[in-house]
Amino acid sequence: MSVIGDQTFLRQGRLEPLPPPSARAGAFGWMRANLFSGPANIVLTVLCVALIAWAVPPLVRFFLIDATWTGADGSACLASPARPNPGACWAFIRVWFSYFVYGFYPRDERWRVDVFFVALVFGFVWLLRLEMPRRDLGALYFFIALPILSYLLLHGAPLIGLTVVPTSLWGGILVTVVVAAIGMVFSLPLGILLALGRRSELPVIKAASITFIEFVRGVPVITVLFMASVMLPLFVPERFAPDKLVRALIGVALFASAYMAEVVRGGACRRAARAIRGGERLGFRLLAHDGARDFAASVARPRCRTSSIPSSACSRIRRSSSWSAFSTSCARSRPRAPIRNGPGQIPR
Amino acid sequence: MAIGYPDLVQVFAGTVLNITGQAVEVIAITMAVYLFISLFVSLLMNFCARTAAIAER
Repeated sequence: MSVIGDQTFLRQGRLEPLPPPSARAGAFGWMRANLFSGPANIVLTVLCVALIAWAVPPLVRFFLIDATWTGADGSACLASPARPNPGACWAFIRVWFSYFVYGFYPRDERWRVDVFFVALVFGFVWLLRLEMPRRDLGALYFFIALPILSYLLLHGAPLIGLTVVPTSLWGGILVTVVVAAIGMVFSLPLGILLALGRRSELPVIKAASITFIEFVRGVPVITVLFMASVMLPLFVPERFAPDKLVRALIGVALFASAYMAEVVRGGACRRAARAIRGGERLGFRLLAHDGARDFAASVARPRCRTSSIPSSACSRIRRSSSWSAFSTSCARSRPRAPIRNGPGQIPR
Repeated sequence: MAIGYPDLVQVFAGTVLNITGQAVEVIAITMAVYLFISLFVSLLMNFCARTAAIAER
């Protein structure tokens, strides 16, 4: 605002702010800030773009352009003079898809598997989304109602009109999901018990825990499964011999809990050490005869759990993906408890 | 089988199992071999860790 003579210049409104410099605005600015912010980033960006340019077109050609979508039999997918480079065989997937999901589960009963999947996803969503209402009910549902429901649905209950489907007919994703779920649900409590047992001062408990953990982690999972399916029936009378799938599930649960024990112990090593030491000074003892429950429940377990959740999640994902090739293969990797020499380490 | 050490597994669970047919024993031997290797390496690593560890407390 200025006054020259009797003329008054007065701006009536507010000016729109100037746009930012073009180097900082829009797509170009975003790229500059996020993709080309420094020499290392520039190199990475160029490499990634080159990788995409190198990998994507052949994949698109294989999966979409050259792919076989329909066909009466396998010969539709084979190479022929007309199609020297046949792509993906989606016709095969479409024909066999239900087999991949259900195995030999009887066709008329497959809705039960579908209901089971929906119920499982419902339980997962209820428990995993923090903003869901009444997650305590969700836990009841997931850990008590869902297993009973799953058993009735998948195995069958003649009383309520569901015919029994023997586990030899189960297959596909169904078995993978069941095995993974059982492994997850049982490995955490058993693993925490084993980890606490390993820290115990009672020699028998400690020795038993260490022996179990190191033995199971030292042998291939396939041999554990084999032994579970061959040896378990020898310990009980013949008519109590567990179902074949149940034997495998027991083997899986034991195997997963040994790994989980080391994950929990690693978490305890890292973060709960101070709390555990403090608890010990206050007179608590891990898995000793007095105060064990209070201490385990109030101090050690929550700490162990929060600090080992990331690696336990890793271990579960690895486990469930290795169960997917259940009978023939397994990923054999041994996650070690992290060895840290920081102030948080518990001396063994 | 996509287990680690396919050579070892092939020998035990492949050749030996086929020739002898003694499944339980062969699997037990396989377990023993893996267990021995694993624990032996653990032992060595524990020695290393002990010499490398900074004495604390």
